[in-house]
Amino acid sequence: MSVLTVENLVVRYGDTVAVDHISFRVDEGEIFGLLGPNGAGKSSTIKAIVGLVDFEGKIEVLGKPVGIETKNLIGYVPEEFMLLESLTPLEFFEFVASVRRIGNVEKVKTLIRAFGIERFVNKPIATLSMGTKQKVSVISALIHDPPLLILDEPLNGLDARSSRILKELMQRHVEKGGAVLFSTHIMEIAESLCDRIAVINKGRIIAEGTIEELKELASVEGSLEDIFLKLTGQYEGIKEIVDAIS
Amino acid sequence: MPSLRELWRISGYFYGDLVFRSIYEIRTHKNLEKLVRSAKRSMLINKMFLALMLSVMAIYTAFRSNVMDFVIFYAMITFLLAFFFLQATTAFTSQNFDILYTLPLSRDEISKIVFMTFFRIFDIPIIMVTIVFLVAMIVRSPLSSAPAFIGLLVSESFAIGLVVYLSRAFYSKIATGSGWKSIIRILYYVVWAFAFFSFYAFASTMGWLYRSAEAYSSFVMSNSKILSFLYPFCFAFLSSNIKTPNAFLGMAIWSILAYLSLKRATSKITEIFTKFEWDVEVVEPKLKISSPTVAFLKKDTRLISRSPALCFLVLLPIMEALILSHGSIPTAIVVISAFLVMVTYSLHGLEKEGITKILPIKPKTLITAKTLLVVAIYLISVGVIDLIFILRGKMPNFFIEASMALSVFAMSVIVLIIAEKMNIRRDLYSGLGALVFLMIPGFIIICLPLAIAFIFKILGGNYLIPLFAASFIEFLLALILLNVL
Repeated sequence: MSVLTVENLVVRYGDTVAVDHISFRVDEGEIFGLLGPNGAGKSSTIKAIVGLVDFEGKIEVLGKPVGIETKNLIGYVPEEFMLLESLTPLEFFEFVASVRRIGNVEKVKTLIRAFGIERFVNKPIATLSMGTKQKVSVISALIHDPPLLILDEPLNGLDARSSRILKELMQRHVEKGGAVLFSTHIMEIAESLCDRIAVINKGRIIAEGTIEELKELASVEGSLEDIFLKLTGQYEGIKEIVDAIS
Repeated sequence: MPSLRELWRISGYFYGDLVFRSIYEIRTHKNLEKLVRSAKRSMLINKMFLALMLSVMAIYTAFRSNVMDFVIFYAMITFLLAFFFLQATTAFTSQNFDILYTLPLSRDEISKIVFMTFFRIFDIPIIMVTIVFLVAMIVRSPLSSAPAFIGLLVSESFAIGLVVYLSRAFYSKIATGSGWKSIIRILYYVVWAFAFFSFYAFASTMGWLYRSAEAYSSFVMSNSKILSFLYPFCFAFLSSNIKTPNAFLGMAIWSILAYLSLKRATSKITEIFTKFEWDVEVVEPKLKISSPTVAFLKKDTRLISRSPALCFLVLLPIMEALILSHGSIPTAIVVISAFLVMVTYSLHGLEKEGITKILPIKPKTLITAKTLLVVAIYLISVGVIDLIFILRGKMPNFFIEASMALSVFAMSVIVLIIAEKMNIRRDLYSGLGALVFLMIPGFIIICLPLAIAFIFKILGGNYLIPLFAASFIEFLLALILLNVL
């Protein structure tokens, strides 16, 4: 069953087309990776799904068109923090949990312990390190147990233990029938975590499938990084650039 | 070593960034170029609006000859600039300027750049009021123009100093926390509010005393020896051609103090948002889940209690209530309500952060929560008036106050519906133009029942029932609009 359906999605910023008629689907029990160079349209796609930018086309979460109703079906970790900096993490979680009408707060406490931020929950978010802020952001996306997790560079700033916990949580989430849409620049992580991958370049999906399918498509033997660079036309000239700079 | 001109040029980039950030999160235009133009235009309109307001005050004062007019003018300039600069501090974070520390610049140069960026937010109003006041004073009395000009510069310096010192102490030490820290924060607020509002109270009360009692001027004159030594009296005496040795001495001392204050403010401005140390013991986390409306109320109350800019905005109607408690209730309600439109607008501006866009929040919930807070501020304000009335042996008119609470509710709901529909979520300092636009319907809603009551009173009929009826109809209309959202 499809948890997220995107059809003919277009995102424009004035005359600039950031996302150009892309379509994809994320199914139950699947981690779907969105890869692309900087400015390819990954974040714009994600922002359209979570309701941060206007779009044309169709986006559905569990068969419902995106809107207020689907916001409780999504847990979103943005690339840039969206936190209320003068609140403490505990107050922030309290606000998010209340707006999401969560009855059981035990999950929040478990997540606080799992990510090891007990010492920081009563400190203003503004005073926390980038890594701790990222943990706050991740916890606030997980507290309502959403069927769809949308994670935009979620491992940024996380320490090794928290990265492992988040990766394990993503695996458990899909094992329980949830779905994950995952955007990253770290190819090794995408390779080890994602069931399927879509490569976006200049606002369009240029390839989609499992790692094996992408290898076949790109006619490349090697890592996901090699496939990615080949598909996005960035493979050529790397050595010359490095030589020129050094 | 970069020249001052070069530092000013560099500060222009940071100011541009600040202007863009003020509007970027709400993205009212899809086109980025339009967004940038819109942000710049909006900021320019704000500046021109404030510049015009201050210039009118300057011209009016320059052509008056009474000491009290100048006293009020200097106090008001200090208050208004401090108030608007305080609102602007919410846009500053140390991260905005982190890049400067990686460049070959000394700490002193970095401080100057940050200070210049801060100054740029209200550069046109400050420069324009200074020029207009100087020219007007030269036309009226060339001899008085020099001390009047210095008096204005001193007032502007004190306003900037006041905001920088107090923000620095507040944000770096006690911005948040519970228990003992909360008590310290409240005490700090009291101290700060005293310094901050004293200029406002001083100007407003003096104005009233001056208008209501001619004798007050003679009190000032008979105590001129002491008063002429004090700020802003020394400048006011010299500006109105009363030249005493004490006034000259006062001018010299206060000018030196203002210079030192400004110099220190320049060097300390980078510390406004330095991260503060925080001792916290590990405790079992406790979460209290409430309804979304209550969650918004709690969140807003917390944000207000931790931001002097917001706190003083919310306190302004209450402060005004204190000042107006000597007058009539309807007048006080009209003035308080005008401030409440500003409060409503600013509370809504808190939601420009992206977080509220990704949460399942219905506009009705958002508007209800903000409106309840606005009505609470109204009730506290009229409560202050009532208390003073009762202490003075007068009976407050609870019926008018209660009726007007319905109008305040309607005003808040309708203003917020317009703001939501037009996607206006702005700060006070960056969205003054939009505020003026929203104040018109807000003010009409407040004044309409009072105007109807006034007509009935003139006609000799019972005015209380029409007042209540008009307010109640507004309230019902607001409820209907809220429910169809």
